[in-house]
Amino acid sequence: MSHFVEHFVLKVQELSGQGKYQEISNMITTSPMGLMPSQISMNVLDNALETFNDYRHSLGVLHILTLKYNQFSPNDDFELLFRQTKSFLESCCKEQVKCAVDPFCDLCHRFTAAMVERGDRRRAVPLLLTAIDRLQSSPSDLTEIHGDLCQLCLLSKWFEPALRFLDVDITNVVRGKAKYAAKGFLLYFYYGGMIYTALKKYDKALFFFEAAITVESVVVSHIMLEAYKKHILLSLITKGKVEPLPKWTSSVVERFAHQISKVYHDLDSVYASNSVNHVRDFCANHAEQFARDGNTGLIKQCIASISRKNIKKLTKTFLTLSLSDVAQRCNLSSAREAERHLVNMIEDGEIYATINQRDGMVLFKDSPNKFDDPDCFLELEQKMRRYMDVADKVKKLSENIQVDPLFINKVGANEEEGAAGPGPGSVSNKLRSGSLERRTALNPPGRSADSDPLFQYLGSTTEWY
Amino acid sequence: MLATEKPEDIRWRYASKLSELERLEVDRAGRDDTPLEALADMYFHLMAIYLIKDDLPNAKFVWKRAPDPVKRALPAFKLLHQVFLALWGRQFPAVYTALQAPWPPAMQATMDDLRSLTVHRATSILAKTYENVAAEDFCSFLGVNPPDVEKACAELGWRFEAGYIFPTANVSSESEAIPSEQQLAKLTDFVSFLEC
Repeated sequence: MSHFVEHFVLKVQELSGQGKYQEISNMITTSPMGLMPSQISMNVLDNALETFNDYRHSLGVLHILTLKYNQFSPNDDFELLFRQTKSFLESCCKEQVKCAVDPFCDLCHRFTAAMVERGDRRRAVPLLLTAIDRLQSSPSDLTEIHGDLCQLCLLSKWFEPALRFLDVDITNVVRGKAKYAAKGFLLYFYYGGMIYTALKKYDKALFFFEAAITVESVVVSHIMLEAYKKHILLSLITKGKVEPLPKWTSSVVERFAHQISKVYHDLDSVYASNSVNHVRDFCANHAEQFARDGNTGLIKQCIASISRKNIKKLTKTFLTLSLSDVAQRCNLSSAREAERHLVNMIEDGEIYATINQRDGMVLFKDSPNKFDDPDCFLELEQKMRRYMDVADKVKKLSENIQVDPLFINKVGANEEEGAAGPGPGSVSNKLRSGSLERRTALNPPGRSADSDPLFQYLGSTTEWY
Repeated sequence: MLATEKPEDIRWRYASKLSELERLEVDRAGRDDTPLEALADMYFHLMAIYLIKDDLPNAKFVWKRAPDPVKRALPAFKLLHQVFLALWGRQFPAVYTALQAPWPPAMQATMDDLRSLTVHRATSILAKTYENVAAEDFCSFLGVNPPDVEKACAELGWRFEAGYIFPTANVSSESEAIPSEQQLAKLTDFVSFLEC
């Protein structure tokens, strides 16, 4: 074993024995390459791994594995590296890993990338579930690995593992010493939105895309841009129009994403004509771009949704109508097709109507729900409980922040600054200019909401509920 | 002939089986030593239960993610996919035809339950959607043979007249009434929360 590696192994064993995990973590994170030369043969690293115990020397194993991923070449044995990563993720010590959140997440990113590259995604899913469990203190913690898991689930068309996390409201972001990477946060919401779209849970998908778009930013990332396009298409499918983004959306999104996604906004204009033929022609003309964006499926659903939108419009104008009239007004090929659409929409609860097949007529009705039955009360109760839970979580978060020494220091500093007169960048000035207006309704003042994606998320969550 | 068991009772029987299968899938994803037959059986049941739950998107993705050797190992899996396609397209006659396929004995009960649920769904659509419906369409929806229309109408309590069936929505008032005291307690909770 090389001298450098031997020294490193002994040091890790010594410090691990004394329980000085933070010291090992500092050693790894502050000078990762200084500790060991960057080019050490794979055999030497494998020997080092054999001397470590995955549980007792987790931080040492983590570092050696990271070096292995750094130096990995196509000629090396990936199966061995997979087994070593698997053994580490399954057996590593939670306490030690929490001292090195950034390197641990980095290892998971590299592992995910390697598995995606090899088209072997399914095997990685259970391991990332374990990895997330190692970092989480509670199920509502968001880690950087969540985005990786969602990516693997999407690629392997296996959504149940990701839904375990997506369905839970996030109240905390697990971060290391480095600032939580915005990319991980954006990817989680983007991939989450895609998963919900695939499962046809459009309301949740819209919320996830909106969360990705409305993250406070000074530039528009590609992730935000793609989320923006999908948000437009989903809005058309579910609401029949594109609604304006929330007022707290960064101005750059409005400015640049709008320009870059011009075709999608043009589609919105054509869609407003309610003509299936116009929309179909438009989509055919831009099919290449939609395919390049991976949105062909959503475009097809957009076209199909126009008939439903047109039928819904009829319910606002007519009380009774013949099936052939419905077909004519909605550009459907026959009365039979109109009947099929009506039956599907009635089954889905989109409209209320009854069909008289003998006379070939349809009678549109109002919602039969009188809101006076026990089922309605049960639904109300469930929703109220959910509101109360969210309010409770926000209250607890607020309390935790108020006793946080960092927060108290900052508030103290701000008060002093306020007494001396507000500077251009002070919180009070920002408040006055309105940039923190919305978030201060939810979060205590003093903490920089601009730099904190959690605040952004909480804001969106509360809006959604 | 028509389904007698309530849909929720049928679905309830499969609730624990679904979570068990979902757990099993995670366990087996990390292992290479699972026999092909066991995998095929797992995917088949998973897809069948999603169909029973009327969760068609998830059923679709079970088919998509199942490896090709698994699809080849169990011919019934392909037949189940035909059932899924018919359900996805809301083609009731095709659903009944696909369900008549020769299923292995261990899977027959699940398929019978799926048929019962399809009949329930079709009955509910007819009751909710039609003031009157032609006998031919009635047969397509419920998978009933034309000579048995009258019998089926009698079972459902629907009127059959001059080649048309007049469905009546069954008013289910079986929801358990909540005791007034409990309701008051809940309302008090809500009001105190809202006024906070």
